[in-house]
Amino acid sequence: MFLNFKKSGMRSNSVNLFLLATCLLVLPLGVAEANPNLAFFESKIRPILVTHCQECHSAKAASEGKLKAGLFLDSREGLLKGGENGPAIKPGKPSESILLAAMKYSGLEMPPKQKLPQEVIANFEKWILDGAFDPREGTVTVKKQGMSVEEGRKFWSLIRPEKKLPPKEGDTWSSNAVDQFIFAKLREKQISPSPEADPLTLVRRLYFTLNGLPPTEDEVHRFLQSLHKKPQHALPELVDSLLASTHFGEKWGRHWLDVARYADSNGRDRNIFNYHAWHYRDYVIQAINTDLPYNQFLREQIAGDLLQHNSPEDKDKKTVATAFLAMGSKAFEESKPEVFRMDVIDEQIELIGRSILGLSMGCARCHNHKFDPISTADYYSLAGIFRSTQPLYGYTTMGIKATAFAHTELQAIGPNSEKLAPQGLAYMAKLQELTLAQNTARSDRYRVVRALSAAKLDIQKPGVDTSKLSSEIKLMEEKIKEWDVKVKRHEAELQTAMDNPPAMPAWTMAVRESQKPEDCKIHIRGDTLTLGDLVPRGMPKVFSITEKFPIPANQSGRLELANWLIDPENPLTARVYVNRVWQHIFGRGLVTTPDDFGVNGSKPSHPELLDYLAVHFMEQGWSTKKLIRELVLSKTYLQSGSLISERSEKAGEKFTDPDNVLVSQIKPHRLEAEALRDAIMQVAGTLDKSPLKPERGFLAKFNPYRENEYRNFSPLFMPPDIQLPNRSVYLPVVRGVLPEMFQLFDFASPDRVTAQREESLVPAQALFFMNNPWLISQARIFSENMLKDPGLDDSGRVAKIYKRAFSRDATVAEIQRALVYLNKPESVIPNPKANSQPSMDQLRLERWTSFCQLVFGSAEFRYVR
Amino acid sequence: MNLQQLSRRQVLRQVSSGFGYLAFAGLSASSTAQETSSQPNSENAHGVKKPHFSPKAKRVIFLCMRGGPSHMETFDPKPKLLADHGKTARNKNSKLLGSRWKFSKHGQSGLEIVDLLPETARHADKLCVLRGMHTDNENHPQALEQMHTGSFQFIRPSIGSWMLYGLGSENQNLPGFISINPLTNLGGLRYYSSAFLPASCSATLLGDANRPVKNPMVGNLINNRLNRAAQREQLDLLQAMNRELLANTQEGRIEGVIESYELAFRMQEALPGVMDISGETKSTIARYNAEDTFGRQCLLARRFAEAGVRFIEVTHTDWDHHGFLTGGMTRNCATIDKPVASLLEDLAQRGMLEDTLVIWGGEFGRTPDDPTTDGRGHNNKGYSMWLAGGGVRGGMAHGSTDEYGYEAIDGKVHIHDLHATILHLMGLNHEKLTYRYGGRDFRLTDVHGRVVKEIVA
Repeated sequence: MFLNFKKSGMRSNSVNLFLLATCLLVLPLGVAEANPNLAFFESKIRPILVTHCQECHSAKAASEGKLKAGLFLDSREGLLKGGENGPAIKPGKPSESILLAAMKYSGLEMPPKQKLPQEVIANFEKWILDGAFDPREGTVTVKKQGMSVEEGRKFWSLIRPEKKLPPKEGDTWSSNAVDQFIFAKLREKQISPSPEADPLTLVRRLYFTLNGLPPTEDEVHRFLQSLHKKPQHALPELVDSLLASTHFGEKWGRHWLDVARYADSNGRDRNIFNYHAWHYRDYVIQAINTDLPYNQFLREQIAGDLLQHNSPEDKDKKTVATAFLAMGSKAFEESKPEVFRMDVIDEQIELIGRSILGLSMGCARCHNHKFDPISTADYYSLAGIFRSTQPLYGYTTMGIKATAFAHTELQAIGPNSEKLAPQGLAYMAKLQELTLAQNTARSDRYRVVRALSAAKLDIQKPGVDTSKLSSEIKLMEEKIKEWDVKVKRHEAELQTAMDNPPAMPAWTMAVRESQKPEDCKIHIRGDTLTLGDLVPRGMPKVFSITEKFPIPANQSGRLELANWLIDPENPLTARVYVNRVWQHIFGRGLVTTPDDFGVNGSKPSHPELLDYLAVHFMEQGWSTKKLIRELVLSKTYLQSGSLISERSEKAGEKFTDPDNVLVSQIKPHRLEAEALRDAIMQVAGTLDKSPLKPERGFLAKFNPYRENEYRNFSPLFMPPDIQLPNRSVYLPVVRGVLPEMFQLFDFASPDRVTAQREESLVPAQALFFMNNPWLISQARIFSENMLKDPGLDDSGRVAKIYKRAFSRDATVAEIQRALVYLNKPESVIPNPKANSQPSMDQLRLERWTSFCQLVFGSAEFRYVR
Repeated sequence: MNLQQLSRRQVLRQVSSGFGYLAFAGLSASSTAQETSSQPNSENAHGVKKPHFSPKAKRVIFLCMRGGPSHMETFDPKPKLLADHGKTARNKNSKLLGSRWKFSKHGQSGLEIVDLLPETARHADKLCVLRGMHTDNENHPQALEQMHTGSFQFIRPSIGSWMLYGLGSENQNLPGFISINPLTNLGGLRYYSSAFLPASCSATLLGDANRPVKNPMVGNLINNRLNRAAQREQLDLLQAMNRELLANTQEGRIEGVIESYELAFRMQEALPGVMDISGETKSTIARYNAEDTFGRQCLLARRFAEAGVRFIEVTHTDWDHHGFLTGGMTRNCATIDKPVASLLEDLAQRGMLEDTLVIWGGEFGRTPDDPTTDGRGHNNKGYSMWLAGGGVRGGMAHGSTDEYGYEAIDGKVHIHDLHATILHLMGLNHEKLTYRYGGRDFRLTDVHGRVVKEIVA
């Protein structure tokens, strides 16, 4: 029977140890009848297991589909092998036996209906202590949920990508490898690609794809001239200039900020500002603009503080990058430090999983992943890395004792940071202390106020000792006066401290190594109180490269994690990234679940293309710009969105690709929230295209050393206005209260990794274009700019509006139709407060405003072809 | 290309994402809405969808009492607490505090209700009081979040969003989930968000509890500049341009854009109409005390229910009585009593109470003791809520707390159980109403929840 044990695959040493212990205990005991252990088991243990446990934990339960937690309690092997949470008992060690903990209702609660009587639990305790004698035979064959490591290594996304070229014969269409892959599939399905889009469509499409802005009239004009002069070079030159523009980083940096769940406030219960987060935003924009290789980009964000640097500025930059790990939304209302800590770690693990690996690993917090080959042990080996890492996000809400444990430092950066940091940190600690003192005094005073009010009620009741009560009332009134003085003194002290900050360094969110790196125990069912085995820090076992990255005992393992992620043999990192880039350009990913490359994710439509891009991307030095350049200069990207009906009418062609999976055309795509706002403002003439200077930002209005006091919260819940003249990427992202326009047009939720935004179409969006005051004011400025141009007649103005807004000439019919509309004065609702009737000029301006407004609301403006 | 030749279905098949169009397929006409129904993972938030089984209730009005109203002063009489008033409590620093108000028996059922709520008490036989409520957290923000979403740890969809996701909207001219006077601070917007469900399942928010106004409004609903004819003229030109583009591209989403403008134009008409209470009689205004913010909310809730809105939430924000319990309870009960009673009365009179589930309650209850003698602490271990209409038994109290009111001991109903029961009454199986996100199927009740069959009529 011990052979049985071995066959069933014992893994951990501790199990083998108690196996040995069981042998020693059982073997010398001889005949069963004379065995007191047996008698004890049969009378005290077996009946309980049968009556209370085996309904859900037995071979019978398994055959009926009722087995819970993969745990069998109908054989000794089942008990020892255990289920999802590991062995149910450890013979001789009641305190390490989950079965007993569950019976005691600590962590798990079993049986679920009602706790068993105390003496039963005591019997089990004794039984385990005495070695858990159990004569029951039987082997356990559990149908495992999810995937084993071996199966996982054969799953498509976990096999290292290989670069294969498709056959080129018979392909006269393609201009690069991307096209060849696309064309091969189209040919297979007998679908022909669409003709190239016209130059005006292309120039507009490229500006939005690469810079997130429409081209100006001049830019369109310049492109057409260049196309005329040097037809072969105009497009590549345009692409190169757009890739070199600072607007490229503003557009593509925002794509990364979506997955990095960038936000300028914490969100959740205490929505305090992340005053210093903008350093990270600017870092991302700069990294994209300088085409920092993606592998280096990831390394800096995960372990920038541990990398070599060549100047103080370089050091600061790499420190700022690690804000990536500290940016998550935290539950500062949580009063249990361990729960808080594990929640922060969970958020970081989900971040790494979904943003970089395309795997959701959060499930493994409580049980082995139901679908993907990620075990609970894998989860907690990653958790160990983050437990050994201290996130630095600063003071949270000052003046609350219960959750003060959540306060952290910030990292000082910039000139003199080393000198200024200590006094800066001391100052923040002092503010916390003074705020606490003030709040304590306030609540002490309030307690007396409440007691006083109750006493005043009681004194009116019949049968009360009024003289005693009234003297108490008097006493309390005096006490309140004393407290008034104390409270005022504390308030004044705090105020003085706030008004007199010392010289402060610049701060950033960041992470750093914790003082003592440590491994993490498995948290059974995710519970911080029910701990299982200690697992060494490391990366998931299903990746064959994992063993190449041992983690030194005195380090967190973040550097190893970063190097592991960007290892050329990591099968996911490059695939996931190139897929997202593809998705941003073509509107639909090769894998349509960009944050899930696991079993539940979708399979790639063009697996060889995805692999080609991934390998090619790495070979090209992980250059984002080179990747994008190749994609937008492919003939695939240059296609038009040709008409379905025309195509289906073509002889011999069955059009069977309604979702455009095979990319036989480029379908119109909706402008995302930022592009929409930026385009409206550029066309109206109100956009300031220079990068935002921090001192002009929304947060500059607030004193970061003052506003975090608990009672000062409410202003922080106000959404920032969208009046800022700069590009949308510079608007602060306040979690929970995004600007109305961003909410309406499906801005990425900053609460979590967003690999793909929603594309909703709701009437509230139409109402925005019909009635929103900000939009109407932009339309009015646009029409004023048009009307004041003396060199134009009305037809010229309409033509100019079309050029600016749609990057094309208006047709004669379109101009005629617009003029019919514009020739009437607007019938505005009379303003009851106005003294006089509006002039004809005013009504004309209003009519033109109505026209410019509808231009903004038109599908042609909202969708790029 | 003649657009007429391109049928709705054809377009539908040809749209790339399909999502936006699907949302509108149901919006424009209910006949097509039926066609797109009952896909378990359908993204269509607006067309009416079939429930899992025959429902008792079709809509919900949730009267949210933020702060945690005291059960010992409303629906859970505690004679023993009164008898031991002033004695040292479990917490040695505190004394037991009996209710200052009497309870009386009402209706045929003899349900006991505090004398502070005489109007509500007239409807005692309609109420099903859950005296054994309990929840996991005793902080306001987390308990409120769990009350709305089932989770206080993670960001999850609101119960109203689940409802809309599961059942769709009955009125194609109005939003299906409306929260009046919503809580916007301390994470409030979370309570009404669709989280990972389609954005169209989010609540439409009317007003803001931080700035209570009598006439809350939907964003961008009113145009102060153009009269209706002028706006129609503007819209006609816009739609002509859009139709040209549609003809040139045959892009389904552009048809969606066109329909969204028409719907928005209708909503401009329909929504203010529903919200305009000037047609209500003086006596109705008086019965609801509709000059007051809360009374106005209840009246609007009735009107939205009549118009076919699926989930309507109303908020009273001020039940956190750590002190000044006497004044606070007197004032708040006076504020809510008449409007709530009138709401029940009107729903019953219109024959709507049978398929409208009314829910009253806060995120938790209060302790039987407090260090001061006129206040109470937070209590998540035992408190009361009540349900009325929508297929629940009336005139009953289900469950109980211990003799003082510290914790639920019998007929315990966890907030997950309440969610499961609400979904059940709406014809939805809480274990089957799932949404796949991040690789796993999510439920309102997570892995918990038991339908409280005992209270189902």
